This record gives sequence, structure tokens and C-alpha cells, in this order.
Amino acid sequence: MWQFLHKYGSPKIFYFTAGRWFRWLALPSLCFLLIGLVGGLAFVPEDYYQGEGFRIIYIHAPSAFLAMGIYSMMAISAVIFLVWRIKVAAMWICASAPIGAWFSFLALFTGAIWGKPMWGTWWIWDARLTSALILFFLYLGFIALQSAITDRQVGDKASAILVLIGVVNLPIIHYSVIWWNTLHQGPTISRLQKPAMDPSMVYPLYGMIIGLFLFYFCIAMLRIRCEILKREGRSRWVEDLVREKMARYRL
Amino acid sequence: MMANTITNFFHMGGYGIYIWISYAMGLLVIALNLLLPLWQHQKLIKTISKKIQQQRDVHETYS
Amino acid sequence: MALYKLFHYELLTAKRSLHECLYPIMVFGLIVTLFPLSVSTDPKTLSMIAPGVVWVGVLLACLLSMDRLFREDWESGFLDRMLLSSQSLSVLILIKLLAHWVVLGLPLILVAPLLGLFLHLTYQAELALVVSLLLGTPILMLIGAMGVALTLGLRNQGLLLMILVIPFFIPVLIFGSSAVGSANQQLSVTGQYGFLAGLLLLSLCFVPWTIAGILRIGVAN
Repeated sequence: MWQFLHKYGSPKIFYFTAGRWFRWLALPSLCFLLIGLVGGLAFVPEDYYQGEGFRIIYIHAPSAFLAMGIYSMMAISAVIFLVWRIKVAAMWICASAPIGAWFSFLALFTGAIWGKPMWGTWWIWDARLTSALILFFLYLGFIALQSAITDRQVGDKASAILVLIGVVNLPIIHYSVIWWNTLHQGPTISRLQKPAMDPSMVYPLYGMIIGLFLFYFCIAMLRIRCEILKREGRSRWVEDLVREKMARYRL
Repeated sequence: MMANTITNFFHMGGYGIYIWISYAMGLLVIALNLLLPLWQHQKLIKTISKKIQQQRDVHETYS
Repeated sequence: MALYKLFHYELLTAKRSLHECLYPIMVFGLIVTLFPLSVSTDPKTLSMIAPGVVWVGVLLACLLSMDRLFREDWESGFLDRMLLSSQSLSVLILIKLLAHWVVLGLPLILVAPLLGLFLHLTYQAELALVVSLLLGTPILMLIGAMGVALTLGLRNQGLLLMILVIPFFIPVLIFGSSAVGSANQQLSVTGQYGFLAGLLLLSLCFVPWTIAGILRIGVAN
């Protein structure tokens, strides 16, 4: 176990492992995404209550789910980093934050577009949309802090701690927003109640969720590779690697 | 008949534009997330190779 | 004894730069003044938006008062001495924050009802405002201090602090302003007080300890 951790915790070895994992995961993730997207667009029968408009859910719900999932992955790696000081865990946090920001943006964007035909307005201060917005701001704040700290070692620890502070606060923020929302609920806008989904409607949703999570792992690997190059740019093995690549591209 | 199904597919019972915008945005975000790290990786390799080149030049002029 | 000395020292340094301690109050007053000018001068509208306006004003004033919290100690090396002290760092931080709250938080709480009067709050709402601020401002300062410790010595510290910390202020803002709003409509506010007190206890337990951890990693370099 320890050997395993330290072996994969070393940036040099992880650089190559990450490349391999990316190659393995890319195709399955693409397949699942295709199943989800094509299924959601073309093969699913239209919803009784919402007509064709509900097809947006195949983008909206999985991306919102992924945005939250990424935050919990960041929290786990923050704990791993702070307890065992494994550098790759810190890089995983760095790599995850922009992806999380992108997908919470996507969830907000599609939520707004869904809202227009369903509720008649681009934005309502619904509890879930508000929490998603706050999550988006948390990601942005996290990225801002990370880019502001120039010292890598301090930066890694500071951002790991910020992630943990966020994890403790997220449930508090979430439930206070729900409570606030039940106080201020507008009389004209009521949420559509969700009837149980037909199984044929659910499969593309699962496909999208699995596909997006695999996709997240894939691009986290790519981003970690960049991060390793940035940090280890002066070490011997990186220079050898670059020389090799240069030679290969010239031939 | 064929043309009719296709227009229906794009129309989506009046929700066409909303659905297509969402799916386009979804694809855009996925593509950008894939391409940005790839580009960054290439740029990093290039800057490091430039640095190596410079070091070699300095080394050659002084030796 | 050492703790009391630290408290006293903090108050003395604040007294030396008394005008700086007045800045947050001025900011608070100015923010509140902007709303009747920009929204409406109608008493009904004003009393409806007043809870939110006063609370947002307090929140921003607190944040603006925070960024000098550890700055001077850090520059003068006093922070290093605190880190090396035999006393527990989190207790020292708690004392420091207490002094900060006495110097900067209490005046805000004293000024708030006056500004509430300008916004046509009812007397019950004024009372709820003071109580919710008494419970809420310490939480704001505790959470803000975490942000200050994280951004200590960075460029654009003030703005970065706002970006980091404001999302974490949301629960306090929700319960605080809703207490004032409910009291304004003659509803019961014990629930909101309960939540604020719970949040205060929670942050009193965990925050000083977290700040100590952050300061240790930050100053160690």
C-alpha cells in the first residue's frame, strides 16, 4: 500500500501513468457521452408534462451532478494531501477546480435556458439554481486564490485548507438557501412536480453521468500532466522527455 | 416524409432553439475542456524546449 | 495574564490609529445612504428593503475592516512571536479577534439602529437588528479572519478576501436579515436567533483552530 502510494505519488511516474490512463479512459468516456447525448436527443420519447423541453435535463442534471462530485473529489484529495503530503493529490485539486467551474457554469447556463420555456423567465431564485450559483463562485474564488499565491508549497496547502473550509460550509450554505427559498417562494411560479421517470428516459441520463465522470478523470489527467511539467520544468527527466519529443517531431 | 421528420426533429415541438442551444453549449464546454489542456501541454513542451535550446547556445558560446 | 496583556495591547494599538477604526463606520453609513437615493424614498419600500440593506452594509464594512487584521503584526514580526509563544496559538487568535470585534464590530452595532431609523424600521425590528448583529458580527469576523489568514501578504489582498469570503457569509446574511425582516412584520424571530447562535458556537469551536493552522503554513516560508 505504502509503496504503491509513493510510487504513484512521485510526479515523474505519475506523468506517464496519467498519459496511459487518459488513453484508456478517453474512448469509454466518449462512448458513454455519445449514448447519453444521442439517446437524450433522439431516442427518448417526449415527456408528458414538459413536452420536448425536458431533453435539456440530459445536459443540465449530469453537469450539475458532476460539479458537485468534483468538489467532493477535491475534498478527498485535500485530506489525502494534508495527511500524507502526497504531491499528486495537490495537483489533482489544482486540476479539478477549473473543470468544476466549467461544469457548474454549464449547469447554470442550461438551467437558465430550461427556465425560459418552463417558468417563462431566464432566471428564478430557486434554491437549487442559487446553490449552483454559489458553488460556481466558490470555484472561481478557489481559482483566484490559487493563481494569486506564487509560492507553490504554500499555495498547495492553502488551497487544500480552503477546499476543506468549503466542504464544511457547503451543507450549511445549501440548507440555509433552501430555508430562505421556502420563505420567499413566489406565488405564481411553482416547480413542476417530477413524475417517476420511464426507464427508457433514465438510461441516457446514466450514460451522461458515467460519461461525464469518466471525461472528468480523463481531462484531470491531462491537466495534471501540464501541472507536473510546470512544476518540474527544470528537472532532468523533463528535459530528457522534451529532447526526445523534439527529436521525434523533427524527423 | 423524410423532410418532415427532419424538420420535426429540429423543431422539437417548439422547444427546438432552447434544446439546440443547450446541447451546443454542452458540446462546446466538453470540447474546450479537452482542447485547453492539450494546447497548454504543447505550449509547455515548446517553452521548455526553447529553454533547453537557449542553455545549449549559451553553453556553446562560452566553451 | 498574558492573554489580558495581548487584549490590552490590541486595544492600545487601535487607540493609536483611532481615525482608521472609524473608516468602516463611514463606509457603512455611505452604503446605506446610497439606497434611498437609488431605489426610492417611499417609507414603505425603504422599510421593506431595510433589513437587507443594513445587513449588507454591515457585511461589507466588516470585510473592509478585516484586511488590516494580521497585516501589521505580520510586517512587524509580532505574528512570528505569536507563533513561537508558549500559549496556544488559537487562543491568542481568539483574543485578537475579540479585541478586533470590540474596536470595530461594536461601533457598527451601535450605529446600525440609527441607520435603521433612517430607513423607517419599526422598534421591534431595531431590537432584532441589534440582537442579530450581536450574534452575527462575531461570525462574520471569524470567517473573515480565515480569509485574511489565507490571503496574507498577497497582491490585491482586499479584493481577493471579498471573493473568497462572501460566499461563506451567505448563511449569516440570510438568517440575520430574515430576523430583522420578520420582526418588521411582527413575526416571531426565535428560530433565526437560534440558527445564528448555533453558527456562532460552531465557528467559535472550529475557526480559531483553522486560522492557527493556516498561519503556521503561511508564515513558515
